[in-house]
Formats: sequence, C-alpha cells, structure tokens
Amino acid sequence: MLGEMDDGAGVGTSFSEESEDETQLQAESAIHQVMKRKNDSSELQSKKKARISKSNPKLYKPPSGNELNQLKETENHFHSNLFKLQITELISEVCLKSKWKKATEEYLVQLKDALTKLPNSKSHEITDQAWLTKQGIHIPIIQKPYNVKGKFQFVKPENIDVVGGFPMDLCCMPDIHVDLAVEIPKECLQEKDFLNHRYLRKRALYLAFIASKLLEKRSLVKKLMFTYHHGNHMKPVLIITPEGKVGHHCTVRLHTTIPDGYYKMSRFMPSKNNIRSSWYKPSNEEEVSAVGSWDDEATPRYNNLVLADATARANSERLRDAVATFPGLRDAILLLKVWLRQRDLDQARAGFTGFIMSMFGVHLLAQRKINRSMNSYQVLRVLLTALVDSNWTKDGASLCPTANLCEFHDAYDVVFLDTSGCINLCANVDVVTYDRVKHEARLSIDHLNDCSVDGFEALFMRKMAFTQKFDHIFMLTDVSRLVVKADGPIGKLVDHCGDQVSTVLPSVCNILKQGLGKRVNLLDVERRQPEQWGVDEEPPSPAHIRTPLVFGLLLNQESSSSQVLRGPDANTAEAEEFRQFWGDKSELRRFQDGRICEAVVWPGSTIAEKRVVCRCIVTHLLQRHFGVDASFVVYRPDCLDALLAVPCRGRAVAAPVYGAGEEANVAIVRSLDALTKTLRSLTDLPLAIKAVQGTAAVFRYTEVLPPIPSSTKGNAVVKDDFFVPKSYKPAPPWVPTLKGKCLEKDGYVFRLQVAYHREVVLLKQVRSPDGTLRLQENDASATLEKQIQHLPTLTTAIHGVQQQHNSYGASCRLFKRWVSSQLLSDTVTEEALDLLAAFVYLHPAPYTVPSSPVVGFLRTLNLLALFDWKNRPMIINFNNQLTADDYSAIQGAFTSQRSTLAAMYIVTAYSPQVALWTRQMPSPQLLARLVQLAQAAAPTLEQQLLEGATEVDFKQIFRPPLEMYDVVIHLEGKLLPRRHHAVDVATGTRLPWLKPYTRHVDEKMPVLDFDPAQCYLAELRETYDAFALFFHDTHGGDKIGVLWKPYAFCAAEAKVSHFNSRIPVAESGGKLAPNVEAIIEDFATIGKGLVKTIDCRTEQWV
Amino acid sequence: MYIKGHNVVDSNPCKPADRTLFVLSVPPYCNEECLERLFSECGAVEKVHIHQKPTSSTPNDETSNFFKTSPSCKGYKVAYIVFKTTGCIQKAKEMSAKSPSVLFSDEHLGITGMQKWCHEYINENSVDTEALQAEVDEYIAEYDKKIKEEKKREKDSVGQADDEGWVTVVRHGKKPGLARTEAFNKRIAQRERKKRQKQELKNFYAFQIRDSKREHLAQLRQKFDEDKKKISAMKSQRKFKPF
Repeated sequence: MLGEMDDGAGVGTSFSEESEDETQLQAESAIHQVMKRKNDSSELQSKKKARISKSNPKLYKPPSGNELNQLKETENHFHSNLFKLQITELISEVCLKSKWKKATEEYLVQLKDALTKLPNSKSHEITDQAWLTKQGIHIPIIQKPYNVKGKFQFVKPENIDVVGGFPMDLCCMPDIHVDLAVEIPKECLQEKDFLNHRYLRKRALYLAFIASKLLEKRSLVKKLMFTYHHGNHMKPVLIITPEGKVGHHCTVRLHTTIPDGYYKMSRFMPSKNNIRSSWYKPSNEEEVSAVGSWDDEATPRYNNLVLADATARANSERLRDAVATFPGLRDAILLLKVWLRQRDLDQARAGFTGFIMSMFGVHLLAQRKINRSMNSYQVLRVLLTALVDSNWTKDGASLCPTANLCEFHDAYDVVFLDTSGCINLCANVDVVTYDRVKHEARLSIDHLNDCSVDGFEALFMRKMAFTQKFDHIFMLTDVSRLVVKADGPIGKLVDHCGDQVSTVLPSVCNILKQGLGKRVNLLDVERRQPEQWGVDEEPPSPAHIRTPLVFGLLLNQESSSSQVLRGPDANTAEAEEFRQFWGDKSELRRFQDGRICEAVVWPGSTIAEKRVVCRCIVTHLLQRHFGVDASFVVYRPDCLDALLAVPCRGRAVAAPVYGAGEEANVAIVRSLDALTKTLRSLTDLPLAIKAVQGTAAVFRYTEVLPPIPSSTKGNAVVKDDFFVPKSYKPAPPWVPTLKGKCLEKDGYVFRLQVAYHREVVLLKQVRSPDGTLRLQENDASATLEKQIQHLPTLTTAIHGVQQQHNSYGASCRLFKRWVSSQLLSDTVTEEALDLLAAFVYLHPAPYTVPSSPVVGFLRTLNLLALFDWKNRPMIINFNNQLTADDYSAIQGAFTSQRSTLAAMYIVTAYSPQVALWTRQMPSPQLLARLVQLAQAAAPTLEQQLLEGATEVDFKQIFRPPLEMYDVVIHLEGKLLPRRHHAVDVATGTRLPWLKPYTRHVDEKMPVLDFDPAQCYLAELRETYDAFALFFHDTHGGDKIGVLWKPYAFCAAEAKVSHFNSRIPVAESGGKLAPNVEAIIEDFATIGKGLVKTIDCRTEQWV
Repeated sequence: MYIKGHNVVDSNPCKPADRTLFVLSVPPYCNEECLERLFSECGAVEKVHIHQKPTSSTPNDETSNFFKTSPSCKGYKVAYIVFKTTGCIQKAKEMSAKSPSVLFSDEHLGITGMQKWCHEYINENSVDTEALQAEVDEYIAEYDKKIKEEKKREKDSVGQADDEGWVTVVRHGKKPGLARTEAFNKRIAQRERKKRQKQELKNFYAFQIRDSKREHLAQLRQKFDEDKKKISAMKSQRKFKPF
C-alpha cells in the first residue's frame, strides 16, 4: 500500500513523512484509485493546465487527508463544486444565525416561565364569552353553530414544549418561528370533548385567555396576532412577536396539545363520526332547506384536526431523532423548504407544508432509501425522485408500519400517515396540490440534469410567480357562488366544518380537468399566505380568505386550441354520460371515418380566436355544473390581442384575414414559398440558385404588425407600408451587389439580395508584408457577413423555434411592441429582441415552455428585468448544440474580458464567440433604462392579470412616460403612414380602407417603406449626434422625445471641429456653448411639413 | 455660420488662399446654391465646395452615376467659397453679424422636410436600369481588358532578366502550386504539431504518470479556488438571499 501510494502521490520523501496517520493513508489510496481511472482521459487537459499553473507552488503541495476527502466528495457526489459551495452559502443565509438562536432560547425560557405562572380563571359556560370581550379579545374561531354545551376554565399549562423545526435548526426564512406547544391540563378538559367542536372551542378560548394575559406583559410581548394554522379556519394559533431585537428575527407560535393518552385513538379513525347531526342543526328554516339533513356520516377531517394536537409531540421527536445524527437530511430539508416556499406550495389550507416534507425524509430513512452517510445533495435528489415516483392518491405512505391504509384512502385524496398511524399528514392536501408538487419535483430533477440550466438558481433562487407559471389564469371573483347544493355532499360540508369552498373545490377541479382533458397538462389553484389578524378583531371567514379564487392552467400546446371534442359513438351508455356532462353543447356529428359520434364544437376561425377555446369550456362547465354565471368568471387569455391587430375602416372580402397578425404572417411566408419556386425554375441563369432564404423579421414570425397588401387611397405620396423582406442566393462573383432588387408578388414587395459567400472572403483578404494572403475582418466584410450569412441562419433558427412553440411569434411581437412603445425601438437591434424572446422559449427554467403569448411576453419582460447583464452572458442554445464544456468556455471568456464586451451580451449556438446582435447597441445607459422600464412594467402587468375587475386597461404599460424628455417634437398625424398602428389611435384619425391590392397600369413598383418620420429621425440623428438622443416609436408614434446628452452643455474649446451649432460665450473666456435656440429652430426647419409643434421643457436644462 | 480666410500650409490649386473663404457650421439644409446666393453680395462666386470636415483637398469627380465613391455630407458641414476676385474676402468679413442674412427667400425655397424626403425617395427608387446595366457592362469590359493585358505582359516577361540580372520564375499550368495564404500556413503548422504529438508516449515512464496525477490534483484545487472566488463574488452581490 505504501509503495503504491509513494509513486501515486509522488511528492517524494516529504510526503511520506507527513502521512503517518492511518485514515489519511486510506483516503489517499482511495483518491489514488479514482485518479488512476481518470488519468488517461485527463492527460491532455492536465498538460495544458500545467503550463498555466506551474507558477503557483501552492497547487502542488502535498494534500492532507481531509482535503482529499473533500475534493473527492465534491467530484463524485455533488453536481459540481460550485453547487456544493452555493448550497452551503444558501443554508447559512436562510437559517437563524447562532447569535439570534441563543437569544431566542433565552427568550423562550422567560416566556415559558411567564406562561406557567398564569393564574387559573373562573369557570364559565363555553357560550358565555363576556369575560373575554371585556378584556378586548375576540375569540379567534368562527362559531357556527354557536351553541356548544360545556364549561371552560383556564388552568395553567403543565408542559410547554418546543415542537417543530426550531430545536433542529430546521427553521427557514422568511418567517422563522418557534412552535411552542402548550399542554392543556386534564382539569380543563371534559369527557367527550372531541365531540361537536367542543375541543376546538376550548382550544380557541385557551389561546384567547393566554393572549389576554400576555397583553399585560409589555416587557415580554411586542405584538400579538392570530392566524390559522396552515389556513385551517378551525385551528387558530397565537403569534407572539417578542419585545426587543429578537422580535426582528423570529416569532413564537403558540399551539396547544393534550396530555398523552387522554383520548383513545380508535375514536378518531376516519370511519368514525364525531359531529352529531342532532347538534349540527341549522338554526332557521331557510338553512334547513339549504343544508338538508344527513345521517351521522364519518367525519375524517374533523377527527384528524382534533387528534393532530395529541400527536404533534411524538412526530417532532421522531423527526429530531432522524435529523440529529444526519446533517445531510437536515440540509436537504432546509433546501426543500426553500424550494417549496419559492413555489408557494407550502402556503394556505391545501399546502404541502415543510413539515410534510420533513416527515417524508424520515419516511425514506425508515425505508432505507437514504442512509446517514449521504450528503445534502444526494438526499435532495432522492427525496425529489421519490416524490415523483410516489402515488399517494392510490398507494399512500405511512410512518407507522402497522397502519391500515385502505381506510384512509376511502376518506382522503392523498394519504401519508404519521408515526401513530391515525393521523393523515396530508389530510388537507388536495389532488391538485399533490400533482403540482410532483410536477415541480420532476421539473427540478430535469433542471439538475441539464447542463444549460443553472440548477441552483432554478431550484432555490427564483420566486415562481403564479401568473408566470401558468399559461392561462382565470378567477372566480365571488367564491360565495360556489356552494354545496341541497342535494350535494352535506356530510362533507360538516366534515369541513362549514368551509364551503374547500368542500366544493375538489369537485370543481375534477369537472374542469375532465372537461379540458388533453388540453391541459396541469391545473392548479393559487395558494396564498394565510392572513393574520389582531387579537381584538373578528377572525376572517374561510370564503373571505380565498377571494378571489385563482385557477391556473398549464396548456398542452398541440391540443389546447382544438375546436372539436369527439365523444363516444351515438346511442351508447357513454354517449348519454357525455351528453349529461356537456349539456346542450353536445351534438351528433358525422366524422370522416363515417361514424356518428357525440361531439362538442367550439367557435373560432383565426388562431387568436382558437386560443380562447379553453375559456369557452371553463365558463360553460362552471355554469352547467355549479351554476356560476360567466360574469363572475374573469378569464382573459386574449387581453393583449388588441395590440397585435391593426384597426382599419373596412375590409374587402378578398383581403386576407388579419387575426392577431398570425394569418397575415403566414400569407407572406406562403407568398415567399411560391416566389422561391418561381426563382428556382429559372434555368437560364449563369449560376444555379442554391438556396433562397428570408432575412426579414416577418420570416421569423416576429414582425410586430405584418403588412397586408392593399391599395390605399388618399395621400399621393404616402401609401401604406409594404413589407420588404430580403432573400438571398449565391451567384457568380461578377454580379455587383445592388442595394436591392425589388420584386412584387401577390401585392407584397420582396427585395432580393444576391449572396455570394466568397465575397466575404474577398473583402477580408489583405496582403501582408511577407507576401502571404491574410484574412482580416473589416467593417465592410463584417456587415456583409452579417447580412448574407448570420442573418439567414438566425432567421432559420428562430423560424424553427416558432414551428416548435407556436406562441413564440405572438409573444415576441408583444415584447417588441412594448420596447418600441417605450420609444426605444432604435436603441436595440430587432434581432436582439427576437433572441431575448427566444431565450424564454428555449431555456424556460424554472418554468415550462410558455404556451400563451401573454405569459411568454410577461416572462420576457421579467427576463429583461432580472437578468444579471453585468455578470452573466446570455447563451442561447439553438438545437442543443452547445455542450457543458462550451458553456464553461463561454462563461470563462466572458468573465475575463467583461469590460471590453457589449453591455447586453447575447451569444447563440451559431456564433458562440461573438455577440453579433448586441455589439453596438444598446449602450449601457440605454440598457439600464430598458431594464428599469421592464422592472416597472412586469409587476404592473402581473397585477393586472390578477385584477378581478372586468374592465382593465391593459394598454397601460404600453404608454411611455414623457416627463423625462427635454424636448418633445409632435409630428403631423396625417403624414405618418403607420398612424393606425399606434397603441392608442387618436380619435379622428382617418383609418385606411383596406382594399385588395391591384396594380395600376403605369405603376412600376408600389410605394413602399417610405416613412417620413424615419427620414426625419435619420436626419436629426446625423446632425445632432453630439448633442442629443432621439427616441421614437416606430409603430405609429407621433412624438419624438429628445434628451440632451449629459456633456452636451459643457463648454467646449474653441476649435474648428467644435463650432457646429455652438456659439462663443463671453463669460467662459471664448469657449463654445451650444446654441440651443438655434438648434430647436433647426428641428423645425429640418422637419418642415412634418413637425406640428415643439414642446420644450426648458426648466429641465436651464 | 462663421467665416474665416482660407489659410493652410499645404495649399490646393482649387482653393487659392487669397480668394477662398472658409465657412464653419453650415447647417444641413444649406447647399451650394444657398451659399452662392448668400455670398454673391460680396462678389462673384466661382465655386463652392462643401465638406464634412475641414480639408485641403477637393472632392474627386464622380465617374459613375450610380456608384458613389465618397459618401454625401450629412449633418453640419464646412464650406469653402472660392471667389473670382481677391477683394471679396474682406468684404465678406465686414458683413454684419447683427443683421441676419436671409438664407431662403420666397422665390428660392430651400428644400427641407417632407419635400426633400419625397424627392430623395423618388430619386432612389427610379433607377434607370438600362443605363445602369450599360455602365456595369462597360466597367466589366474594361476590367477584363486590363486583366488580359496584365497576363500578356507577364507572359512576355517570362525568362527575361531584370536590371540586376534576376529572372523571375513563375509556374504556369494546371497545378498552380500552394497558395500563399496565412490560413494555409497555419494548417500546415497544426498538422506538424499533431504528428509530433502522436509520436510521443505519455504514460510510459513512472514520472510521467506521477506528474499527471499531480496535475490532476492541482487542477482540482485550482477549480476549487476558482469556484470559491466565484462564490465570494456572488456573496458580495447578495446572490444567496432567496427571499
């Protein structure tokens, strides 16, 4: 062994002297083996490295056993070195600092002391709460029915235990709290307290009494609030905010428990009834008809609720045992708590809480799926994988090996039993939540396996917003509409203690899922953080907590917009069922294969109209099955479509359909295909055409408003803009490249450009002094190369993205429209914006690929706002061409040359070394501006999407703020060819008549691409480049914003080159200052005819 | 606009120092015609040159109607006004700055704004294709002729010694030999390097194996250090606060 080690580690004598330690020897020989295996493959690499690192002797010093172990562990057991370090940092960040933990522990001693010294109270009837009201406390529970027999007397608690995660350091930000379980002594309890809500009332009174006494202890308590434990309206807990600095870092939650063995477990099995119909009687006639009557059905949820207090201690002890000697599990649980919180999965009533996750870890340990030698990353992976593989709806899990699961499966949707085998930890978790958790776990594992995704960020650092996660969002604005009908499951309502929403929601989700079928991959209901309220306030009702009820749909893009749903064959039993489900929407149809089937057909002719098929289904089903009127359902998948359509006065029958621009775009692409055929059929060309490729945005499906061919009457000079794509083909070298050869087809004008790839090489050639030919890039060659090589490749690639994800085009167009509406269209290249939108579709982590334009747009905005442009390159991996090595190479190059690279650095798989499309634009200042605007727009849009009101002004974020501009030039509306493209078309604007295009006899070529506003801008920019920046909205903007450059007003030396539009100023000693009055006068002169008024905000610069 | 007598070191015959007036800060909408009209009150103007920047040369004559050799001036520019007589410069300098001269009178309306853009558009889009084709054909023909002549000259000089008695040997025929390009040189060098690498044995001697292991360890350490640095950079950017 020694010999082997000697030549293995090979650092000569000094090494063997050091390594006397036995364990060290073992470690070294282990690593030695690992290294041996890797030797051959890494040989070449290490040679390379050797040259770089020989200079650093530190790297070659003999390793210590500890270090070797560490290096080996990261190499073999972690995703990457970085990942391990990141996890460590994250955990230290989310945990309570040890200093504060100590302070909290000290505080807990004081608090416990105070609680045990509380005086006993007199005995009251439970219904008599006057003594409580007198002290300014409101009982934190909804008392319905009010009458509960029995007496309540406060007796000071005997045991006070810290339960939950705090003692094991399992508490995690943002709300670190200590769970303190106060044991209600036997003297307080009566026999059969568990019946008819009596225990729950007593519990609430007990907490209320403690609250009333703690109110007096100002030295101990800063604030007292109540909240529902996991959103359960029958189970309030008292939140104590400690006085002093401890209160900033953590709070205390007061729960109650009952003495061990006080109740017989068997009383609480799911098949038992503990709310008697004789007690739960409605008070008046009206409710009798509403609630109806029920026999004493089983009340599993209520039983669970009562008994949970009895077993809390046992469970947390079990958890403590597992975690105490297993740091890997502890860290993994903490990470998963962060993971759950970022996805808002642990919130509200149906939440998959961190506690469930912790107990699941314990369960896996018991099942030997994880063992104590694993590290946090391994445990995390196993936990997530086990979650994905689990099927708790059919085959539940249990921490008690002897439990009878069947009984629980009958009563609950999701089953995971605790140590006692009588409590279902997932009693409140519904199928929807459970499915979502599994879905997220699956996604997370994929992210961890994917090299192109920063797994750490995707899993733990990104907040997953509900509005961004789901393609479609709809809301029930009035949840009181969701009621259990008289003939419905009354027993369930009693079991849920009167919570109508929780009772009905599972069946709502069920019906919707059934109706939507393959159209959706996932349906979810938004979970919100439970409310907190003051001790003197009335507790909120469960319906109030959930208003409005927000649903999210994750669409399956292939089938989400199909219009026909084919049902079973006519005249079968299933057909009757189908008819029952769909009501009058179901009709008989004859299909192509000759069979006659029941079918449901939804309206819609354009792509945009087909996108809202899901809305039709949802509103119909809610109306049919739950009687919820469509006016209470807010569902707007088409809220931004208005921005993609072009208003016009009339449309002739023969004109192509515009829709939300998609149809118009397809028509153009078809026209190009036809043109390509014609071009290829030309046989008498000197050289054959190799390929015809589009280069304009319209061939990427990202032209904001694709043009339609039409003849526009009226203005003699300005006609509607026709679209100008460019195609290219290789041709012989002698054909001079013209500015453009135009060709008109189907009313579109195509501009052809001959592309000959050799031309780029010829432009680059330089003869060096020694006579060899060298290729050297210059401006001309770069421009040409971009034009004939990179642009067609990009267009093809992005065209591919659109083919794969059909909502890409629309979302990219919305994004471009937004950028241009902020008057920033000329500050970023169009291609860069296309790439930004493509990033969202190609690298959607932590989400899935968006399937609706609005969500695509929202995520693109967020991407722009949140991406760390300064420290990270944006890499767009078309067709997954780049490997993990390529990624690290790009990142390495980026970090080392950051200062010389573009502010917005976007590279694609086709040009991984150069940011082709962002090299010149945008400048760092304008990028900052763009980011700033996106940061403001994204939350606004998100908020609007969740707005319950029927009328929401979605154009709000498309209106630019004008206060920041020093001068605003207003343009003459009628000279703007795209005036009707504007976000808000001014009233009185003459909209164009769209007539099918017909060619005039002596017309050579239709007027195209003539936009006076652009001519004006170009002239302004070339004239006043030194003084000002000009901003304009390409799409129908009638204003130009002018911003003086920061140094424009500095006095310049009196040099010949500085004299342009400056005048000498006497007081600065003959230096030159800009002649602002003259400049503004010239604005008007240059734009004679076009400029209406010039608005100067003189106060901003004088 | 600011004016000054033209006075530079390297003079140009087109801009005689004593008769040329240098005008600065000429607005973009002001063309040769305007300037001529403006300064004609000081004396007869022979020629007006407009440049983007001060220069002593004159613009080359455009030989082609379609392919411009020099870009047109944009934005603010400078102008040289060559008068017919010498005394005019003094006169021009005496023009009062207080009473502004009228650049565009009603009858000589300068073209700006909409009108200008319409003109430009029409000019740009009504290219006479036949004339263009003719010009291109002519150019190509001339180019072909030039090449032909060159080749002929080359052929003629084969085997003839130059002044110092050297004879240039050129290879003609189907295989022209290796091209002298940089890319080609690089390719050859790379091929050589590969060949050499193939011959070398890497894990033959014990020291080689030992070295490679040390390298591997060093590499791991280096990566660890790099990652640590990255983490501390991220930490300073507060990248670990998830909430």
